[in-house]
Formats: sequence, structure tokens, C-alpha cells
Amino acid sequence: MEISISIMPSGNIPEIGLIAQVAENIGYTKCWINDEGLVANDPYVTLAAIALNTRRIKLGVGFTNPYTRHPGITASSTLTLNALSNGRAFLGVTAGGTLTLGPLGISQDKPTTHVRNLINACRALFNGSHYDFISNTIGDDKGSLISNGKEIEIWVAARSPRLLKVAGELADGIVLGPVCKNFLEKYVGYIHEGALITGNHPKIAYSAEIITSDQELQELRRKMGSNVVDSSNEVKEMLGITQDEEEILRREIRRGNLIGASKLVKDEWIRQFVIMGSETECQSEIRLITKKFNISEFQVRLSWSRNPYQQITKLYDLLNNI
Amino acid sequence: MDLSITLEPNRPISELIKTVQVAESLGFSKCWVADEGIVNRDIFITLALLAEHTQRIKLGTGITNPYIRHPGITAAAIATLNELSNGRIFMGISAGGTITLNPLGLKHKKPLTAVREMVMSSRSLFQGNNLSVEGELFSFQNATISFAQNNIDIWIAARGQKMLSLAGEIADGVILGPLHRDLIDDYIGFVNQGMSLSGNKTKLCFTTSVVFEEKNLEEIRNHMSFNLIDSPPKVKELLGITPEMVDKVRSILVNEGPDKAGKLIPIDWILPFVIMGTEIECKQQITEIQSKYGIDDFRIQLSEGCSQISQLEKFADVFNLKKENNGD
Repeated sequence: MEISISIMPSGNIPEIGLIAQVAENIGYTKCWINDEGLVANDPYVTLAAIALNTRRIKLGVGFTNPYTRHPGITASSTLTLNALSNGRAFLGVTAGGTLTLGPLGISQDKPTTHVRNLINACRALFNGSHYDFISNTIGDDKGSLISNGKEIEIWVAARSPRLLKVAGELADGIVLGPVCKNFLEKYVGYIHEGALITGNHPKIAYSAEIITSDQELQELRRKMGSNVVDSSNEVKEMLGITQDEEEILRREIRRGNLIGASKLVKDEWIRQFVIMGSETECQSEIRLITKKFNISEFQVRLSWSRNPYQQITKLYDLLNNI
Repeated sequence: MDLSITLEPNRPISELIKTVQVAESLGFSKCWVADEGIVNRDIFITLALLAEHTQRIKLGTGITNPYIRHPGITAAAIATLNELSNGRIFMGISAGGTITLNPLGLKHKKPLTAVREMVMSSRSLFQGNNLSVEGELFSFQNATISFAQNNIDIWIAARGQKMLSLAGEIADGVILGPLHRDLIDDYIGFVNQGMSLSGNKTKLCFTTSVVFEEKNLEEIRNHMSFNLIDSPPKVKELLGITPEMVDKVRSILVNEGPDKAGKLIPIDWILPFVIMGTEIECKQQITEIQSKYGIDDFRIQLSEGCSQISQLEKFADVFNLKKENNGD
């Protein structure tokens, strides 16, 4: 199983470059840089700096969306990164969440259609084909892009049934997470349904926080608000989240009051999204999940609340010994 | 007067870095990097690498537009670069041109509104404000960039009367050009009108190609193909460019690229836009324009057809740049 790292680029860029370099030396194979709009540094500027500091680790945005940049720009940025990093780029896309789209006044209009078009456009342009953005069709002509990127993998992060099916149909890989663990089987089923349509064989990565202490649980609370409100209705129902609770939580996130939002997140909600327990218990649970769902990659999510170097070393050791 | 350069990220980034390092060492003050959508390499990755490999030269978009990214995303990228470069970033914007927007299937929707909303929202975000605004084209809700610094100049590139006036009204700087030389007085007048509306005092950047040898005019035809079809009506009228000709050039530009489209551009259409002559004559023309209009920055469009580093050295020599600026 590959072990990758996902970083919110909210620290200073030289430090993020150093963390990625250390992660590469430890053995992490991929570095995902979050695209969170105004909340953190620009992902492509960050990735450019990381590319200069590393030699082997694969690099990509994880996850961008079809709304904040034109899909052609996303393709061009990824191709530029690929050329700069000697073919180490990949692309992660999703439908975008409240944290990213809210401050930009963008609503998540027709998410499945937009993600489908984003994947098709990027793949066409990576292959050097022409893509017509008005009709959303692929032509045979050679496009005018700067380099060939046939090897660039496109990954999708998804939780809704429709998007999971589209991901199964079109993506090279799907990242599940943070997702409600009770629904993993269902989610993988949707992926397989989509994959059957096209005969696709996507890889599956699993992304979850690994919590081994109460302090880590409290720190995580701030991040979980947007995960909870962006969950599907059936997840919210299973967790017992009322409409009022959801509304208040959503309002606080839109206001940028992440501390206020974190106070509204209940422990029992968080437990469904994380791997929690002693190191041995965490290893057992991850072993079960990865085996049952044929997971090829575990994505470690870096927390800025703790020492990043100790964190990536500890989690790599935990995961590498499964 | 500062001398700056424009780069198109159409070559491997290592080559661009070398060019900008030489420009910096010769005393050029700014490097504007063109944002041409999917036609060239990504502008923000290019600027990040230039920032990492230089120390003094100012770096910025030259120019981007409000359509290909949400203006908030552009502002966040600019703020990120500003932090990475220790405050050397500026932002140049315009309404976007055919070569950038057409391949993406985008239209110039309300260009004046789009540019105004982009400037006002970017400035507010750079000032560290919490921005909530329901614009005609773009909205923000409790938007803030926590790492923004309030030291980023916003430049507008303009040629039409209304855009020039808007630039005078709200921008820190206006990029003029390439301009038909018979219309420079008019253009400056429009900028002044805008400035008088708001009491703004904007800097002026003049940009064009400088041609020391007539053979280099050929290459400029390619650049001028997209400049001319996006020109204001008065320019087209002066040159006798018909709507049919515009359609023909646009079609070839979109389908076959600037090299082919340039072949349709007569040399006579180009001459009013460029500065041409011996090195002494060119310097004299530029100095005249600078002193007449109070130009703060002369932006040189480097030729693609010969060594860009040799061109930089020649300009530095003609303008005694090393002697004048390198002691900073």
C-alpha cells in the first residue's frame, strides 16, 4: 500500500517545501496540496516550490474543483507542473466544498456534470487533443498545449452516489475520505457501478485522520465542521444531525468562525470519520478496511496543530507496519 | 523612468529564469509575465519559479483577466506570490483578449464591470478586509486572505476610451499600448478624465516593440494580429481595417495560431505602433514620449526571433541602465 501526504498550504511555503522533502525521504510516494480558495496559499505556487525541493515524490492538487478556475486553466497548470517536475504531476478534483466556494459566492451548480466535464477536458488536453469548451466535446486535432501529459493520473474525491459513479466511470483513482465509515461499503459499490459502465479499473485511496490521543481529537474538531455539513443527507441522518444543527454549523463556517463551528461538532459525529484508538487498534482497523476494499493508498492528512515532522514520521511508521 | 520587460511563458521555465536573472542583473525594474490561458505555461507556476530565482526585480501578471479564474483566486495567488517574493509582486489585468479567451470558449462579458469588480475586490482583499459584496459578476461572502499584504500595485492595460478612463479612475497604474502614435494624446486624455473623477493619481506604463532592424518587423506581425483585431474602432478606422478582415484574421488566429494570422497583417498597419530606427533614434523617440507624457515605466516587448539576453544587453547599453540603476 502506498502512503501519501495531504497538506493544507496554510504554513509558509519554504516550510511546506521542507515538509514535502522530509516526507519524500521517509518514503511517502505522493504529496496532495489542498486547493481551498482564499483560505490558504495558492496550490500551484506551493506545488512549484515543492517541485524545486523534491526529486521523486508525485505532486498534485488535492482537490480542486470545476468552479474557481476554468477547466482549461486547471489543465494548463497541471501540465506546467508536470513539465517542471519531470513527469511527477497528478490531478485531484472534486465538486468543491463550503469552505472553498462559500467566500467566493459560488454555488455548487450541477456538480456531477461539471466534474465530468472537468475530467474529460483535462484528459483530452493532457493527451494533446483539442477540446471544445462550448460543446464540451473532444476533437482529434492536436491542441496547442505545451507538453504531452498522457501519464498524468486524474483522481476524484467523492461522497455522493452520483459523483462516486462518475468517478468510477472516468477516474484513474478515487479518494474516499473523510467519509463516514459505515458507508464505505456502499461508496465502493457506487464506484464499481460506474466502473462497470466503461470497463474502468480505478484505484481507491482512503483518507482519514488517525487519532491516538484525546488532544488530537480536540484539535480535529475545527476541521470536521465542513466535513459534516458537506456530507450526504443519508450520512447526516445516520449521525442524527438535525436541520437546525446543520444550519447553524453552515452559518458559522460561512462566517469564517471555525472555532465557533468546532464547538457544535459532537464527538460521536467525529468518530465516524476517523481512525481512533491505540496505535495497534488503529493499525488493525486500517488493515481491515484496506483489505476489504482493496485500498491501494492511504492518505495521511497533516495537522498544523502538531509538529509536522514528528507527525509524518510517526504516521508513516504506523502505516508501514500494517 | 523604469525599464521593464514582458515575457511570454512559451519556453521551458529554466530559460525564462535565465532571462529574468540577466534582466535583474542589468537593472531592469519589472518583469511582466503574460497570462494566455492554455496557449502557454501556467503564469503562477512561472512567477513562483522566477520569485525563487531572483532577489530584486519586481514580478507580476502582464496581464491576466477576470474571466479565467474567479478574481478571488487570482488575488489569493498574487498574495501567495507576494509573500514568497518578499513583497515584489504587482498585478496587471485587462478584459482579456481573443488569444486567451477563445480557446476556452469564454466571452467578454461586461468587460468594464468585470475589470472594476476585480480591481476593487482584489484591493480590498490585499488590504486585509473581510469582504462581503454582491457584485454584478462576482460575489464574495465573508472573504478574507489572512496572509495578504497591502503593498501590491494594481495595473490596468487599456486601449478603449471607457477602459482607459476606468483605469485612470481606480488603478495604481495604466499600461498603454501598443498604441497608434496618432492617438496617444487622446488616450492620455481619457486616463486624465478618469483620474479627475476620483482624484486618483495613476502611474503610466508605455509598451511597444522597439525595432532596430527592419527584418524584425516580420515577427511583430504575429503579435499585432491579435492586438489589431481587439483594437478600438477608431484604430481600425485609421488603418482601414474592415469587419471582414477582422473576422478573417480572428478565424485564422483561433484555428491556426498567430504565426499564420500574422501573414495577413500588412506592414503598413504595424508601423504606427512600433518604435523603429537606429539605437540612438529609438532612444530619442522613447525619451520624447517619456518626457511629453510623464511615462513612469517603459515596457519592452522582447523579440522571440533572436537571443533575448542579447536584446536585454543592448537595451541596457542604450539606456545606460547599469550606470543608472544598479547601485540600488
